[in-house]
Amino acid sequence: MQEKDSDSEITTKPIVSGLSRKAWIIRNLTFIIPVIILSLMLLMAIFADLAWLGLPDVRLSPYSPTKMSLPDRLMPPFWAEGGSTEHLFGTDKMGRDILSRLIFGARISLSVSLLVIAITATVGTILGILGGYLGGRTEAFLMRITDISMAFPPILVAMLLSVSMGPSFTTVVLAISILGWAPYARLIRGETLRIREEDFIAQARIIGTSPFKIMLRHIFPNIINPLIIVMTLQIGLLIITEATLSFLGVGIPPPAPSWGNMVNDGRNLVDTAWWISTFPGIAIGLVVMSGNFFGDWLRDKLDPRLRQL
Amino acid sequence: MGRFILMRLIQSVVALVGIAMLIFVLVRVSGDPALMLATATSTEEDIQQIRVNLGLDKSIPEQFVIFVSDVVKGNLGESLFKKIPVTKMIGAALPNSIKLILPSWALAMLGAVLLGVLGATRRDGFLDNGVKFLAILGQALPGFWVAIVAVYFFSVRWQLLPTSSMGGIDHYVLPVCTLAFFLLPGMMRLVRSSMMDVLDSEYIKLARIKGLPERQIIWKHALRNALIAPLTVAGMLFAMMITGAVVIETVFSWPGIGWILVEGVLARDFPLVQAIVIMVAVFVLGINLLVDITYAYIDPRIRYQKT
Repeated sequence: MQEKDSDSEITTKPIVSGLSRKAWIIRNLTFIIPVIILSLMLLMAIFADLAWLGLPDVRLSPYSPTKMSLPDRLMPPFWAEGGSTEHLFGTDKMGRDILSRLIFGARISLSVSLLVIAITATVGTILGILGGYLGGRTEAFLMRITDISMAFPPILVAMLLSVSMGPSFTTVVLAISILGWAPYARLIRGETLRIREEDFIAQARIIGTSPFKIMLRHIFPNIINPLIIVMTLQIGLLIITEATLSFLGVGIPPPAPSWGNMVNDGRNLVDTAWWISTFPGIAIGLVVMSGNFFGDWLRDKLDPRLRQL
Repeated sequence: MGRFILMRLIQSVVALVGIAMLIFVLVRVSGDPALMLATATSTEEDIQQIRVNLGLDKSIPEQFVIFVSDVVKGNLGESLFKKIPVTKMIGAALPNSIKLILPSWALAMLGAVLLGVLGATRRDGFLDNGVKFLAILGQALPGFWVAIVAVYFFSVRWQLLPTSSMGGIDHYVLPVCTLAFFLLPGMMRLVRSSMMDVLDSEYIKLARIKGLPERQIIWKHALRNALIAPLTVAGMLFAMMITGAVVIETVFSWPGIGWILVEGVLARDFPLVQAIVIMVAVFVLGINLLVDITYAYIDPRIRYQKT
């Protein structure tokens, strides 16, 4: 399989380098479109308003996401009968503008997932390298903890934390992170086991390099590729987890807009006001799909060996 | 081999004890059931009395020792609110969960094998691309959203199927199909890539040279080997669905394990939550153990390396 791939790559190479720009774009569409979507979402999240620059009144969203206006409640999107261009995607049962809530929801959903990725990737990588390189008791102990984390239903832990600490942004991040490092630890340990046996590690050991330095300078640079791939593939999973928690009422507490709790808002109104649940669902789908495509593309470029991830 | 099995067994028991301890502490951190049982007229002494009655006045390590000795005797405790043994509550909810999970799981597995094999044999054909697209959708859309949209179309708009709760066959269609839609993509990808690897192997080439009909090669010789990896994952998936179906159970008001778990957490019903978590952990760890032993049996290198 592997050999076959590299063969076909060699034979197609001259053609690839001779591609016109248009052909190149078409060939890499599964990379370009996701990156555009993700960048747009990121920009939306950053510039939803400029409160973080001390300018709360300058904002991208047409309205404040929490501003209620009861006379305008349950307005359909502008193209449907009874809709108006003042609320492009309509309003919810409290008259809040759906588009504005979607834009601010991007901020919450993306910051939850990026924070969780930063935390879990760091913890998982450290534990994985330690376990894989040191071996013995350390490894056995770390791997048992990993087993425990993976056998634990993640939603349950999040729910328990959220009823004890009260639902909040911090709770959500903590709740998802507490078990989320385990897949990283598993993967990185496996990779470390493989690299540990390479000659250059043995040579480093012979000239007396300290174990800490070997792990940091020799093993870590060699596991960056799989790490980046898994981090990218996690974006989608985390967005869905956050949305699920918020949907179950143990995630981001209202009135703050999160895509998950927006779907929940519209849940009992699907027959009369379909737009409340539909748009946040589409937003989730778009981001998750982009994340997955981007991750797949990266994997094919960086490390096709990891196809089963 | 005996030594390997023994070591893995011990490790699994250790992991189980770890899970039990973790959930024991976690539920106790989540709140005080005595406050939820207290009425408006309860004094501080009354509340303290409730704690004593429930055995919650002791320290957490003490409580854990009592709990473990009870579990060894086969007693998982009594629900703090319904005053019935938790095993009975689980016994009532588990069949409902199984009735939801088993058909969706079977449907998803069947679909995954069919579509996965077709995808692998007709790479990049029309069908393969359609299947890939379906898989991408299944992995990108949140379960609760798809469930709501399905309810909107099939129950509200076209009025073909009931919206929620258990009942006749028609009550099964929406929840089972939604759950299967989410189990399918991951499995299908696995079958597809595993099948592609097997189809490139020497013995398949030999079978072709021998002149066996293509249908027989694919569905008999190749599939048998290609299914090993997906089957182990399928087993795991089944165990995880017992709690993982909570979202689907919530949307469709399905009185399964996920449903009583959510209620238990919100009511701080410690014994109930503990029992469910431990039960699921036994399933998951047991399947993991079986998988490891099977692999070690097949591949001697694993046996010597790990112990």
